[in-house]
Amino acid sequence: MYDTSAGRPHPSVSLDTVPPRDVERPGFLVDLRRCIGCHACSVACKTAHAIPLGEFPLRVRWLPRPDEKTFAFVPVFSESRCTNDAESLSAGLEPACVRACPTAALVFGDLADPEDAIHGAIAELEATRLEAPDADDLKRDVHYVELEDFVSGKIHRGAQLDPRDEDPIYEQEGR
Amino acid sequence: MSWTRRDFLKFSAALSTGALAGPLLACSPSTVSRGSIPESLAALRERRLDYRKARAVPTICFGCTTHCGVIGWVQDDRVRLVEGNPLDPNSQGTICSKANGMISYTDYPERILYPMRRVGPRGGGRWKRISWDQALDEIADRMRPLREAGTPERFVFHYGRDKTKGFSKRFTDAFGTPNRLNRRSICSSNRRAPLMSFYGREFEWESQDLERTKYVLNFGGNPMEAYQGGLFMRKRLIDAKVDRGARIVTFEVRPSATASVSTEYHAVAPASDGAIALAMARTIVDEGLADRAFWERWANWDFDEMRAHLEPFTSAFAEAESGVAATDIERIAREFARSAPACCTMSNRGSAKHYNGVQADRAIRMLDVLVGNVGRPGGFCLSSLRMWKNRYGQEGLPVIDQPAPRPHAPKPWKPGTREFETLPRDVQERVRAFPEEWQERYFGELATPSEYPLSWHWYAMRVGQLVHPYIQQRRQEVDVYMSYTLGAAYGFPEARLAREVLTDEALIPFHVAIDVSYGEQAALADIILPDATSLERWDAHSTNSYGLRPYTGIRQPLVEPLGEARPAQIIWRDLARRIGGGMERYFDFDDLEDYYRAWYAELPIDWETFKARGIWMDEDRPLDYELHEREVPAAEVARAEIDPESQTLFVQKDGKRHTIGIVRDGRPVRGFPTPSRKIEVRDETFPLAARLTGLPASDINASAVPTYARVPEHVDLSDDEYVLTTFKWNVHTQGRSAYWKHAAEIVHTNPVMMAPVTAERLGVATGDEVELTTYRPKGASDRSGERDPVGRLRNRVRVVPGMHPRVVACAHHSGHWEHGVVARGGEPTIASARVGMNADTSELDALAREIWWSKDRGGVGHGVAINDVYPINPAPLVGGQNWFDNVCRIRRVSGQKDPRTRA
Ligand code: SF4
Ligand code: SF4
Repeated sequence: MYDTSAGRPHPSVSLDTVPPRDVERPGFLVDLRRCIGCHACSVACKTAHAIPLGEFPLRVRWLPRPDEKTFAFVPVFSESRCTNDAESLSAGLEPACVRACPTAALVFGDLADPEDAIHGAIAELEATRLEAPDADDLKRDVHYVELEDFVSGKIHRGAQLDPRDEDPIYEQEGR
Repeated sequence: MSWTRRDFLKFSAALSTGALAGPLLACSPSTVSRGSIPESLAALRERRLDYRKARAVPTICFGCTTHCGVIGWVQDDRVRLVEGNPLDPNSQGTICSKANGMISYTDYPERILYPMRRVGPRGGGRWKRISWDQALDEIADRMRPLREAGTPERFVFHYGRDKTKGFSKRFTDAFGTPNRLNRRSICSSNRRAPLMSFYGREFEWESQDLERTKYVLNFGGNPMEAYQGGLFMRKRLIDAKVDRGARIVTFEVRPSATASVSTEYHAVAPASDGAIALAMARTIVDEGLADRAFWERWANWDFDEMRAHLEPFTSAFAEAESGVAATDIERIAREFARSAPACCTMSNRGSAKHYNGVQADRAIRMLDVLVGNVGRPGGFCLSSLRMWKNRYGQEGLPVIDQPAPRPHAPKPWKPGTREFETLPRDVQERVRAFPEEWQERYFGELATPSEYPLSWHWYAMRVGQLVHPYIQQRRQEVDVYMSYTLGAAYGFPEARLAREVLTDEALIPFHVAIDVSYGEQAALADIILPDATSLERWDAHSTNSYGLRPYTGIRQPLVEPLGEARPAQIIWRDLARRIGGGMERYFDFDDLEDYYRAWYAELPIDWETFKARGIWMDEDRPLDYELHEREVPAAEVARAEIDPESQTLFVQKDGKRHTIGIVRDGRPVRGFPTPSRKIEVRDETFPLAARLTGLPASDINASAVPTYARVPEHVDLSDDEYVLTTFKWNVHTQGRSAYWKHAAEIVHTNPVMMAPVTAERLGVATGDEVELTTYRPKGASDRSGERDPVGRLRNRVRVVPGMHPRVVACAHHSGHWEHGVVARGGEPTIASARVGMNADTSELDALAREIWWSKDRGGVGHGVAINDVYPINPAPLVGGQNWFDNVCRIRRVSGQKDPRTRA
């Protein structure tokens, strides 16, 4: 379906010859059918950008499903703190979070480029665009595949820790 | 201009046609010494990672035991990011969150950087920095006399994670001690033994063909979070489910990530997996869904006998044991069998780490044999996993072995040897009764405990949790104990006993710890030696491949060791040279790289190319399907004899028969690397071992064929008793990751998880405090039957829907009291131990300020250490720790208000 090998370092590819990625309208597609809640994306981002503890350009939520016995895993991008990984793009690489994802749950692309494969993926997978508060001036568009209703109601707050979080991880108190 | 994915594809295709036209990533580590401490985190934040300037170096990850091929980006002598190496056929270029933990531990401001010697009493926490010369001389002076006196076994080497692939064994062999101990029994003996019993010593791990499977039957495996090799399975399983509509059925006691992404999750009673598997086997046989031809060709157990044995294991029985509806059990069995051969079982620990776990895994493994999916596309495959030495399944691969000269292994402690005479009388008697082939593998009670012969029957897995009690009981006198990357003092069951022994100078006169961080184990040492991290050193690598084609990889230094840290290999080399007495001749190399280059001398690509790629694989080699059907070459057949009864081909070596194949339908084929060359579904080793160790024949572990009985202490659980189980979160790797800051930020606590109905019954809610009291097991385990509680712990409750109502779960990697500021939830290591760390504490202070979960900042803290309350509970014969059996009682200590009145 969508390719995942491109835009990654390869032991026989020099970045010297790879042009920068010039992205006009950054877009992420998050395929929730594929996400396993592993945090590889979030930790790769935080490592690459030396992000302090307590701040999250991207955070992975573990949300108890309302009627079922299991968890839904939802990576959430922070509108204010995510930078779309300018460093990687300027080196012609996919953002670090996308490269880190073990299950190809994340896709990045330029929504302004009609040739970009992300359009095909959004259409084919019937991805839902996340409603965001100030939708006119977004630094990125995030589309989710199979966004369950109960999930969309919980992730609008963005990626930072919130005392109301019900995840069994990132345990907090008095925050 | 916009560079699209398609352009990139074209571009990489062009590159790959001129394969390696110039390996374009630099690969020698910088020659600049990192003796000085790298720049601060604040400076890093200023100077961003510049991929075009940074060097990208392939290596092998050490974040867990999976060992993925990765690429690290190095800028200004600091590793800035780790990501996947697409050339690794196992990981397929993917990583997990822990890969970047390597950076956290390499740059940890409380990492041990200098050798230290304790001052004052052991465990008192007072240290002095010493030079390497002082440290090594002192250790060598302690060790040399043992070797000179002919008692090298009084040097005990105990490792936690040693991936030097035989280098540490070079050291212990050259020294002469067989006491090279590990923690395998803590981890996976109970799941390895059944597999080796079925398929032979070469296969202690399987490689399901997940790229083609249609149906996965998972008994308590958690590849999405933990599981050795789990990373290799993640994309393959998700692709199978999402892209190909494969079904993944998971039996678990709690809603793990794997349960969450499965197509079906059944919360089962703990330790009931065997009953389910046997009932499924019965359904498959009864409904004529078995592949009888495969069974008759390859299983060593008569089909009708097997059918008769399954008679009592009805689906109604399994329902009563497990809580899974009989109709579901039958349906799943049918679906599984009808998907054959593109179906496979999977299990890891969940089913095995119980009193009945070895038999449960044998029952599960039997399902694959029944439907004939073994070695077939989409099925339960076996792919070589050991270093290549022309072993089974390695035909045609280059030999990859440590350079000569290689020391001889110590001689077995057979009756009549000096060592045998040092054994207690009862042990001598037991060993005397062992068959000769066991006596040839016997090396005393620490390495090869005679009560647990199946911990060393296939190979020396050891029984790690008995090492300290055995030392306490003086079953082996110890003069020097060296721990390497081991966390027994924190992480072993009943860890306080390990601490007691490690603190007692009469039992362990001298303790050397080699590690990266100042953990609970190192805190009880006399000398601490700073190890280089995985980003700073060499290792050879090979493992089983889920791509079904053997490959090898190299771990190489991306940066120089920080401070005065040295790679363990160099530590052992320099110790060997100081100890002398001939030992030094096995360590005749100056540069570690030369040593590893010689190790890989037979590789068909040159060393520089190997380093630039990080991975080598013969891309044209056929996939490892049906290795058992491969024909034995005529030259070998000509040298072999045939046993008329079993039809096995064998050769005589040292007066013993070694089978090399089996004749099937007139064709000499390899078969499986078992003595019968068949799949040993029936294995008389179990009753034999039982008889020789006095285990009653009625015990489930004594059965030659897969069977089921409830865990003894679960037979009559009273209403107020629960089963305490444990697990690890996907960002953690046992007790070794609590100080990796990004892992700790995500999971720093381990509340007692329980189902809503359980919480209601106990009158507690999330956040309330409870007290757990644990008890000893009841079967034929160590100290079983003792009535006094093992221990008590207090911890908070977290209500988690989806838990089995009889189970409470608590992760086992929290609540450290050492490993520095991150693991200790904001409290730095005691000042005296910091003499071995960076003297400039500004980085440490900066990091401490960021720990938002610290109690000082109103946070929830860093969890509760729970391993002290787990009884030492080795499974009979095999010795794997039955981590998931513990019976406990739970009492509410405090809460906000009575939960029953809450809205
Ligand atoms: S890396 Fe991928 S699978 Fe893992 S949490 Fe992020 S999006 Fe999900
Ligand atoms: S699974 Fe994760 S931590 Fe383990 S070796 Fe692979 S990338 Fe490293």
